[in-house]
Amino acid sequence: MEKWSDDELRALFHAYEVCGPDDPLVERTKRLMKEELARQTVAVPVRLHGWMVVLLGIALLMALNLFYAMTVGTFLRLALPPEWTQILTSSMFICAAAEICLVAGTLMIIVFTQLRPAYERGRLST
Amino acid sequence: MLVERLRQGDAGAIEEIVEKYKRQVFAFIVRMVNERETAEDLFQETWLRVIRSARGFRGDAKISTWLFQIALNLCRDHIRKVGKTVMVPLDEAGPLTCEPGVDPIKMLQANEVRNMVNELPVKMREVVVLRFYHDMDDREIAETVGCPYGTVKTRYHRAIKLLSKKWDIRTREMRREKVPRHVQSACLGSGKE
Repeated sequence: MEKWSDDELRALFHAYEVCGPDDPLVERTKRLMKEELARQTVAVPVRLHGWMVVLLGIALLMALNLFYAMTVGTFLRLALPPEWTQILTSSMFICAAAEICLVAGTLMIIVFTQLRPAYERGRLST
Repeated sequence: MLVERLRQGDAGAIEEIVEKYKRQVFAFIVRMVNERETAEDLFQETWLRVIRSARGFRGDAKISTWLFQIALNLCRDHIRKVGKTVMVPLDEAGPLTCEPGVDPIKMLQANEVRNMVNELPVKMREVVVLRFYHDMDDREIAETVGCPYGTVKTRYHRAIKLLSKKWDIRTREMRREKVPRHVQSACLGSGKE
């Protein structure tokens, strides 16, 4: 067989036409798209609400840590022998450092996922 | 820009984008899955995904490329699920041409071409359909199918080689079945021997 040119192939392939889509299908699709678009518009505050819950959780954790430092920590400082004081102080520092990491991590996630313009998030997402 | 309007929740953009690209997207899906009913489901799913992923569209590619990418991913998923392309008898596959009272010779020719396209492996079919039916160049095809430019060229050349072989076989079969010469030439269109 001789080599085909692109034009010959194109002419050959165009014998296979495809009709449609039918109007009812198009109308149904548009309706579904509008519903989906409305759902997406409503969904945004819900997503932000999720981040509020995370921040509240972290605040609660910090409150518990303060509670530990002021009650259990104070009690233990009085009750335990003086050589344990150093360990107790370190444990409070570790708790505080862990909370700072948590808060910083959460803030970074919020900044990079929520506040960055949508068009900068990934290329062609399908 | 249409996608920007979609992102902002403008329902009017839906009308515009669907009307502009509905034919291209539908024809592409039909040619990929070869089953009208499935194509209708995939067509709907494609447009729903357009809404869902509009926020992720950065705008450095053409809208049509992005749409074909979404449709292609859905077709691939479907073909993977089904295992292979379904070969549907001509009378169940829906009309092959939009013209009413179409010439039966043209129908035969369309059927021959459709069978040849459908017998191609999926990756080759993607390239052939995008190149010949949607007039994309190799770079656009590479972007749509998600592979390097060189791979598109290789797939295209392999597809043409395979089509040539299939064409030869069909021509021989027609001669063996003693199909009249004018029907043969009508069915086999402009292909050379």
